[in-house]
Amino acid sequence: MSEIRFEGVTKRFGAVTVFEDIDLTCPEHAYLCLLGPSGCGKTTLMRMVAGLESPDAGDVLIGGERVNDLSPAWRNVGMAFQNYALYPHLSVSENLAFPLRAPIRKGQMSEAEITRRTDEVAGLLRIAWLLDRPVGALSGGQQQRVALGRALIRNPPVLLLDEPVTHLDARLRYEMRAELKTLHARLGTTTIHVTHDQSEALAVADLIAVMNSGEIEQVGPPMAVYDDPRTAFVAGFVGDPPMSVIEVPVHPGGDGPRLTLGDSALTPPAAMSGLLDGRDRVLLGLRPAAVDLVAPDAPGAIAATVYAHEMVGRELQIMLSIGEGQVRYRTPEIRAVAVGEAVACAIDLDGARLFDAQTGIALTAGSDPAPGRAGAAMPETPRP
Amino acid sequence: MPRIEFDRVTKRYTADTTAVDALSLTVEDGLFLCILGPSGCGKSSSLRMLAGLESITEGEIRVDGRRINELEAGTRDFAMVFENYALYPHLDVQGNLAMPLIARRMPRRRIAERVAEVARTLRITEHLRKRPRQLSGGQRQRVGLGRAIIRDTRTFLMDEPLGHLEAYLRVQLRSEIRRLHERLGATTVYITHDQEEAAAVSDRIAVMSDGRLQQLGTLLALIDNPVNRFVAEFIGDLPIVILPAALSSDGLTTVLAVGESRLPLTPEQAHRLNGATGDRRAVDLGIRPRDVALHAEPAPDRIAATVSVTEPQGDATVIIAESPIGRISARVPSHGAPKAGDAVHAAIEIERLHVFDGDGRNLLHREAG
Repeated sequence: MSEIRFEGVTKRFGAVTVFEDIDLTCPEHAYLCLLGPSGCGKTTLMRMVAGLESPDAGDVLIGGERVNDLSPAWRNVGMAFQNYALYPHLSVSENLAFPLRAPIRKGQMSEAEITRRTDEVAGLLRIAWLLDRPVGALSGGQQQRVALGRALIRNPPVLLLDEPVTHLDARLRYEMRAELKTLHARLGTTTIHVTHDQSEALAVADLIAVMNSGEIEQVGPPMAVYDDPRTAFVAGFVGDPPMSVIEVPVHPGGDGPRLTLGDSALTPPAAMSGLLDGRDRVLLGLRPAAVDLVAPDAPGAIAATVYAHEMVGRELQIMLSIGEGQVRYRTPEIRAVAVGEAVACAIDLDGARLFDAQTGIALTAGSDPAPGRAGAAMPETPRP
Repeated sequence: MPRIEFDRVTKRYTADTTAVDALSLTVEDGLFLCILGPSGCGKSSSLRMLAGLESITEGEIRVDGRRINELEAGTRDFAMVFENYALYPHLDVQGNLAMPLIARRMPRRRIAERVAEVARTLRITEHLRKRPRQLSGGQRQRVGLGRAIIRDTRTFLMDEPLGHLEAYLRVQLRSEIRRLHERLGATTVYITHDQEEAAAVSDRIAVMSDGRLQQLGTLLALIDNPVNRFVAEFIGDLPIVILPAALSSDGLTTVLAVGESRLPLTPEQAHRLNGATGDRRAVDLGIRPRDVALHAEPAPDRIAATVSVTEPQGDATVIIAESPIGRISARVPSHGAPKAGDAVHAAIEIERLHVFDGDGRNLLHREAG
């Protein structure tokens, strides 16, 4: 059994509380990504599983067993870091075998067994041809494979990965993340992977836990997190590009509430109207597909100005300022755009998401108008 | 604004280490040019020669037609922004911003006005009284940018200004840099290894490798019309797939044989290959994952493969599949995307494929015109 469970875990560094009362479960054989911006507490949380940090309150359980007081050496956890932490003067095979020859395990494994295991892991990671080379002579991608191999050499039931592909160039990053996924499908090792890259988390994980400022905002399968963000932070963080999240005033009208975008008042679809009752502000989450550029005299046209524009691959993305907020528009039609240019846009509210203006929590039919849990609202620095 | 020309500029550190090899490149007046390439490609050396921080071994750099090789760095009148912001730790933000103006003996009141204006532009007004160490990385980099724009500079040189910021901060600051450029209109040379950043900020991208300029163009041109395999592999948000193939022609149609599949080329492509295909000729086929569609049914012009990995990305999913001739990948809509273990047949958008010869030249490259 290698389920990993955090129960009411709190961590403080001096007067600073990193997180408080965290509950999170990574089921046995699952691949869980802890995703969030730097400083959100994700690495500290993972390090608790390895025993490199200890909780100030609460329990960390591996396979149902409380490990708070178990020394790191006895936890049977494999770990690979972003800076590899390899011995540059030792060969690949010596680096791989290092954990097997550690003093704590002296004499537990014969040299023949060590060689067999080293060859097996080298084969798995396709580095068999590098076994005799000193690690210092390898490329970044090769070193990352060695670090991964060393984490796997003891066949640990639990694997911890801290930004394992961050430092690799784009091409290798894609290659390695496919590799991680293939490896997990083969070995089924319960894995926690820490990253700030939402695209990586969506690509490799079975489960994503999105963290922000020491809070877990949402836990779920990648596409569930993408399709149905539970907080404004998740909406504005996950997706490439993510949703645009803007704060809009709500005005009561004779025939139902209206959303005010810049100079225009929009009538929300019927399903959304009920959610707006009794609110004077709301956070509106829009995917780029909900935003279109239209002629200024088109019905429902909203006045906007170009805040910024950029080419992303073969498409043009334009950030439009509407009132105080900004929304992203994308199109494959490339044309000249200038910052400050006046344009008109139409917004389709059908697929839009609403979040509480104070707590950032998603509004859904039947949701409590005053949610008890204090969610974090907007990202600390909203993405343009 | 100034026009900058590199004319066969070479930098050699020792007799046998050439960092920059006969670089010829013109940055038109008011243009935002990115020099993009992997580490060690010579991009930073090129910028440092322009700035006057490195000597020029051979060739000439001209600004508005005037040779500047011998000009002292301090007299070249470029504003520079580096990856490490190099702020004065003992001065607050206001003091850091004002420094270039104090050095130029600008009257106090004018300085105060300028600082307020720049702080507003970069949205750091509320941090003016803070020291650099009280700021986040993104805020510090804004101050670094502010210090560069505070005097009316006509040329910006930026060396990986967003290099060590986190992804989401980079995304935010790169649009600020672009906004600034459109407001000030200064000629800008910007160094980065990140193609997404290059595309977001610049008008033109110069791709360098091994000290040489490989190609100069817009992002779109680099994606769809790469001059060689290096550019094709370096550019593109998903790595291009390269498969061994053979070209043959029966006089009427030119066909690319990829494993068991036969891809008929368009007449225009055949024309550009210019009869180089009389015999069966070994080449490398390059396909971008966005130009591949996956089908359940086989066809003579589709490549059969088995899905090994699926990577959801929101509305789209990246599919990695193994074919007898090598690994292929495709970016397909998430709705109805195949699953690991599924048999798929990859249809390639013929107009978008690339053909490389043994030296890595793109045989289908069109000269810009």
